[in-house]
Amino acid sequence: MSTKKTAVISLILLTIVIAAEFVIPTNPYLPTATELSEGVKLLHSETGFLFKLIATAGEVLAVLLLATGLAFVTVLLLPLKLFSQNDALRSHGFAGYMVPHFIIALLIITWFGNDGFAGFVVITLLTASQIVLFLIKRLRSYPMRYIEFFSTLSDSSEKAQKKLIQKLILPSIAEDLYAHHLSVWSITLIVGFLQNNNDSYAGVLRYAYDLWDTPLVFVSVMFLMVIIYFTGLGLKGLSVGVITEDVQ
Amino acid sequence: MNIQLKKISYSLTASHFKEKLIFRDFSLDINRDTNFSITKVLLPNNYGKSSLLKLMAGIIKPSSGEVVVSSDIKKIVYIPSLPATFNFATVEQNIEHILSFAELKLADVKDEYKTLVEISDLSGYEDHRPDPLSFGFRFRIMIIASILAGAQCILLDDIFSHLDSPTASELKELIEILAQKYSTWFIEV
Repeated sequence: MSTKKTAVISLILLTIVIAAEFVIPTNPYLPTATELSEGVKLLHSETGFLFKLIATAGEVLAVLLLATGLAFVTVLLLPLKLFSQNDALRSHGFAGYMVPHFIIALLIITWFGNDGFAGFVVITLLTASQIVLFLIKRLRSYPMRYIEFFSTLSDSSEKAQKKLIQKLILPSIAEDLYAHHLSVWSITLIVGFLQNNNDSYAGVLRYAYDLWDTPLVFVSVMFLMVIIYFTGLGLKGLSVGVITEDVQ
Repeated sequence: MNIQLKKISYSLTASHFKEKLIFRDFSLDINRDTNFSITKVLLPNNYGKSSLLKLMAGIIKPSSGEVVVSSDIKKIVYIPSLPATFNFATVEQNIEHILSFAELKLADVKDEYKTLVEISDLSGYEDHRPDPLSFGFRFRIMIIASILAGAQCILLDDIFSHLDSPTASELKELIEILAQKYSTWFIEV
C-alpha cells in the first residue's frame, strides 16, 4: 500500500469517527471520539502501546537496514553475467514477489515456533533475498551505454562494471527501503500476531482483537497506520532518484 | 595518431539462435589530420557504425582480425549516442564519479578541471544536477571528464543526432577548442 493510499484510508477513518460522534446515532459498529479517547487510555494502561509501537517500528527499520546491507554485499559478490539482459532470472524474480506474506508468516511460525530472534533473522534474510532480486532486476534494466562508456575509462572492464554497480545501487538505498518497508511491516506484524508476542505491537493488535472491542481495534489500527505513513514518508524523502532510460 | 582495423570480422548476436554478420575481413586505416578537430567516418545507417567505434574502443572483440592503436594513444574513451551521467549527482560529483573509473581524484586535476569547466560553459553549474533530458549539457560533462581522465582519443557515437541544431553547433565549437588545446583526437560516426 502506498503512503498516499494510507493517508486516504486514515482520512476516511477520521471522517467516520467524527461523523459517529456528531452525526451518526450511537451504534455498536462505529466508535465515537469519546469512546476512542477512552480506548487510547485503556490501551495505554493495559499494553503500553506507544512504547511497543516504537519498538516494532525500530524492529522494522533494523530488518530493513540489515537486509539492505546484506543484499548490497550479495549483489557485489554475484557474477556479472547475472546483470546481462537475458531472461534467465526474470521468472525467479517474479516468483519472489508472488509469495503472500501470510504464507511466509505461517512458515516462520511452523519452523521456529515462538522464537522471536529466529523470526527476526528469517524476516531479515527473506527481505534481503527480495531486495537482491529487486536490485538484479533494476541493474538489468540500466542502459548498456553506461557499461560501455565507463568500461573504456577503466583498465579493466570487469572492475569498471563492479564499480558501476556500486555507484548505481548506493543512491537507491532509500528507494529500496521504501519499496520493502510495507512488506516488512506486514510480515513482522503477522508473525507477532500469530506468535502472540506481547513485546511487539502485534501483541497490542492481538489484545484488541481478543477483546473484540471496536474502539480498541480502531485506535490500535489508526496508530499503526499513522506510524507506517510517517515511516514511508521519511524513507521516500531520503530518495535521490534512480537512473531510468532517457525519454527521447 | 593512428588506429588500424586489420581484416576484422564481427558478428552481432541478434537472438539466441541467430547471429548477424556486421564485418567480414574489414580493414580501415584512420590517421589523425591535425587540420581538422573531428575525424568523421562516413557509413550508411545500419552498416555497423556503433560496432566500428566499439571495436576501436575495445568494448567488443572481433572474432578474427585485430585492432592496432598507435603508441601515442594511451586511452580511448567511447561516448555513446545517448548520455551516460548520473542524474542523482551534480556536475562536479558526476566528474568525480567518471574520474574514479580512471583511478583519479578531482583534487589530482583541480586546475585542469577549473579550466575545462570554464571553457565548456559549465562554470557556475558545478553544484547543479543535470536535467536528464538536457543531452547537450550531459555530453559536455562526459567529454570534459574524459579529457580529465586522460583520453587522447574520444569516439563520438552519433551524439549530434540527438541534439537540436544550436546545441549541436555549441558542442561542435567546444570540441574544436578542446581538440586544439588538449590535442585530443575526436572520431565521429
